[in-house]
Amino acid sequence: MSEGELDPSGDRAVSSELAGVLPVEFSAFHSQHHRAYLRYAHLQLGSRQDAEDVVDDVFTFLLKVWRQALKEASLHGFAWAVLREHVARRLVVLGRPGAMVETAWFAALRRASRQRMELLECKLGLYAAIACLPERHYDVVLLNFLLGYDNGTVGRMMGISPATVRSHIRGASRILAQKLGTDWAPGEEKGQ
Amino acid sequence: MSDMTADRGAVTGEELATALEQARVLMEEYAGYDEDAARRRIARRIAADRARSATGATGRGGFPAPASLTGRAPRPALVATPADDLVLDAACHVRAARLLDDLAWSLAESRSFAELALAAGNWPHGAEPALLFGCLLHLADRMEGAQFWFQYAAGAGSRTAARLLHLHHLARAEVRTARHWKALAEALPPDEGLPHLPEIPENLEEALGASVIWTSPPITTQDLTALTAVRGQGGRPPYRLPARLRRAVTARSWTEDPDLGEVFLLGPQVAVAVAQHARLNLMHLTDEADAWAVEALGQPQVTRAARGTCEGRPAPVAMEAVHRALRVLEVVNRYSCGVNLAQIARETRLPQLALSRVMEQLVRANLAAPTGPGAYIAGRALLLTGTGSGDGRGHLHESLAWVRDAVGAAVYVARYTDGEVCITQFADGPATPLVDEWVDFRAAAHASAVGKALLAQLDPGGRKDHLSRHRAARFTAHTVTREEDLFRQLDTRRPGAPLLDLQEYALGTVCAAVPITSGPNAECLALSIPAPDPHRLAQAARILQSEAAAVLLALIVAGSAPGTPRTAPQRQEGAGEPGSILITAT
Repeated sequence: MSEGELDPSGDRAVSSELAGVLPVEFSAFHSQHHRAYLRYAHLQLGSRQDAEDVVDDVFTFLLKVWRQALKEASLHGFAWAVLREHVARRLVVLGRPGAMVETAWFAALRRASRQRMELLECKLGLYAAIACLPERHYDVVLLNFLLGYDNGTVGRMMGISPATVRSHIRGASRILAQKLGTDWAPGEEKGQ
Repeated sequence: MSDMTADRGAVTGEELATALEQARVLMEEYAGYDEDAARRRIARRIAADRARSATGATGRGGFPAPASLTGRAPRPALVATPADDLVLDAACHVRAARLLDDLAWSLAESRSFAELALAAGNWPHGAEPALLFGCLLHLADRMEGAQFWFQYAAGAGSRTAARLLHLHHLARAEVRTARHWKALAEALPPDEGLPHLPEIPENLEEALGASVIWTSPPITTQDLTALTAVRGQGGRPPYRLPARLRRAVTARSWTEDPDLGEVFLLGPQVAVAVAQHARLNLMHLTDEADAWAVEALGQPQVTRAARGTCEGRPAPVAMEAVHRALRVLEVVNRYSCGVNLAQIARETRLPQLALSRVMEQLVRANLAAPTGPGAYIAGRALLLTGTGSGDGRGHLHESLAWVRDAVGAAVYVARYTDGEVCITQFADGPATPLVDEWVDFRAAAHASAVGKALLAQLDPGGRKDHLSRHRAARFTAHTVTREEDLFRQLDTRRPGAPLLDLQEYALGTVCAAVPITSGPNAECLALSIPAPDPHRLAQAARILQSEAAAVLLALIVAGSAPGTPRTAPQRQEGAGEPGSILITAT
């Protein structure tokens, strides 16, 4: 028997029973984060199908160990590590490196057909440079710029302080500017 | 990919910022995602897994039916099974996190390592103190602070720190960074003088590449057993730093460095706390650490200074009233069948008016009870204190509630304990709300009436020590942040005048406090009014001042509060004779 053989008419009975398996705070956590996780996984893995599978796996793992997860110093930080590790494992299974650059580039292409070609080329360079960032900088930049979450949300999601998010963005910008050939004056923002 | 960026033309910072702003992708991709269906899928997998482990079946090929379809009730949702622990431990990041906990704990608990870190040549700029501080921050759940100090230590050549960083990043599934540190650790020479540390198993990262924990179908728990042979303890072990050490470690932080984010400073308070934790005598350490220690040893000095205030300096105004009350109590208690006012007045030589005021307070506090017109007997509270029951606390509470109603505001009792402002009692009500502690009171002594009343009772060294540990931050436009201004305010007020907070801690709230002292530590009684009305504050402060004696009395009777050792033992000595206790307590 497999999941596909489920009797559709029994679905309601199943869901009411499953409500006992799902703690309320787990459902809330899932509801709050699944979309960000999906988009993050999608960027890395390059396909919607893989993203959905991995994020299902992530939340199944989290539900399985939910009681212990609640005891962690930072539930969000723990869940973020679960996501990262599952993505890494999936990439190993798929036998290829992260697909962020291509995924983001094609997504940008689709969205911005009217933009001039050189701008898009510039973007490709940007995505490639982002892909080379150290992991925590990479996550912050991805969540902040590519996926468009604000600093507070990014910090919460990764289990780090907003101050760290800001400092990572600053550090990442410096690395990116260097990679993209910019002269970056570190004193530039000191006045703020 | 990187070769495509190699010869890209110059991009200005502004262009970069713009490019980043426009880099958004996948905005709408999951807009219509059916999250309920996703949750049902997940729940079904868990239910099926439970059903399977209940039947003992290990059908690896197919995905078993949900419990509801096989007619078997699923287990209660949150009962963790040993299998859950196995699943947890099969995750590489979990195993790394546990290992990091173990290593950090071994270092933090090692007496010899504490000694090494505090040694003159090392403290505070060497690799060992940084490593130790990183471990302490990790155990205090300050992940980023720990990382900073591990990096510092690794930069100073500590191989252990590099190994900890390997685990640190692995615990967050930052595999690339983790491997960087692992390679560095292998290149560094071994550290000397460290305690024995748990080994990092060779196969730690195996889980990353070898298998998948949850896919469809999930691998069975039997497969996990092989993976987690190293350790199968499940949830995070309860490594708890003692509160004092934890507080010292996390006390000083630079909340925002533009490049480093939140930074924790390795201040002298850490040296003292570490030494105390490891039971090392700071005075035996070598000169340099000693100098640091002396700087940080403000705490014992503070208590000494505070004790000095209640012995050397003129007693706070409230004390006088308490002395009067105690003299009256002594008389009342001596006459077990009751005594009239005239006799009390003769024996205490108190003026009529003062006496009737004292009697009123004593009766209200249940320390005396009227037996007839103008005659009194020892009260219920007094009798109960003798037996050592906890009723003195209730009495204190009653007194505070009475004061609250008299001043029409929330009232607090605070004590200076271990170099910190500490609210020990309070009474509030629906019409008299507590002040919202939007900044920890411990960090706001300079801006709160409570803090000022306590600081006023410290000597200059004690005050400076306190302000060196808690920077005088500006909370509102009215906050006094300059040390000189603050001290002038504390020292130039009229004797007995209350200390005020005029919207210095929070806009819209004014407070007043009067110093009282029942034990060796500085104490005060305070009120807060959630409306900036100077008239009302002045009136409330006057009442507070006149009622402070009653609270002080209640504090002395309650006695048992931590940090007032002077009253507690004496209470036991005089157990047979309740009246004399209070007299000796002053």
